[in-house]
Amino acid sequence: MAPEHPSPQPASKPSSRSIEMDREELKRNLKEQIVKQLNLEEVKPESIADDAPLFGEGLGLDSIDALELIVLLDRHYGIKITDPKDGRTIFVSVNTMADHILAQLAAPK
Amino acid sequence: MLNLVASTRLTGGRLSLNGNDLAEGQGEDAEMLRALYTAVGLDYPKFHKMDMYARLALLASEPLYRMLRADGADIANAIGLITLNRSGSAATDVEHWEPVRRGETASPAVFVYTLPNTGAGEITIRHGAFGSSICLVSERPDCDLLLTIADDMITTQGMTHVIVGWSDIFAAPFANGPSTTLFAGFALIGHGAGTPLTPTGLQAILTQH
Repeated sequence: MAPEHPSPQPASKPSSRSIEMDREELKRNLKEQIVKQLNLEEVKPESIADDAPLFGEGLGLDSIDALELIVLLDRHYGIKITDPKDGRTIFVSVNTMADHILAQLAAPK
Repeated sequence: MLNLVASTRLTGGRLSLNGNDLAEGQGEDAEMLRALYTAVGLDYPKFHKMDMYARLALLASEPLYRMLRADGADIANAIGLITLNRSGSAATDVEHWEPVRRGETASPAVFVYTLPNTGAGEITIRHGAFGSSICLVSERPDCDLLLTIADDMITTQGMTHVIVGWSDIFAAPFANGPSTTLFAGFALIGHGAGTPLTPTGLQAILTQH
């Protein structure tokens, strides 16, 4: 008897070049999403350096912004952060946010 | 005797000080407030994170605090603040509720403005004002009560001046009028120089004509 559903095909492993391209696009998207969701009207997304601190001397975000970033990850990437303390390492910069998103998306469900 | 030192009104997209236009903003409510922000030369990025009610109160009170600062007033310790509104945070409450109704995660940045005293909070944060303050929600300003409170702040609480301000954003679900009606009126009151202020005079400043 034929199976009702076809067997899942193993995902092809993306090349390192495509990962890098995805990562760059992800960072651009993140910068636009951060500016929009946090109402940073006087900040241009492209002016945010990949490794610039999001809190403190960088973008100067506050504790409410940190909660908004948690919502951003949930809304746009389906990634939930259940312990806000994890945000201390995830929300250091756009680079660390991208690292976390890529790691979560690559992790087995 | 309480005297009126100065007053501001924000209505119809115009911000005025003592009856003289200071700035004008065009467009829908948010666009108009953003235009006024630019027109009055505010440099305060947090403004854009505030809800509409707090933006309205901050903008309308700004000229009075600038006047006090120019006069060397002790804004940190000796300027009282009375804020008033009719609709509380109803407009922001609705904004907060919308994603919840759709089963989505609510925005923390919206949630923090679901209180009727956010205007006073943002004004005092911006100006570093730690003097006496109170927020009242009522259908209309009770100017006899307001002058009594202002006089008490000056005579017994060490304030040199008190700013009394009405600012309101009427939310559509609770009214039969337009989606929002923006109006703000603020009065700077003191015992020193100024024009004698009666409850009727204060009413004229705090009420949309």
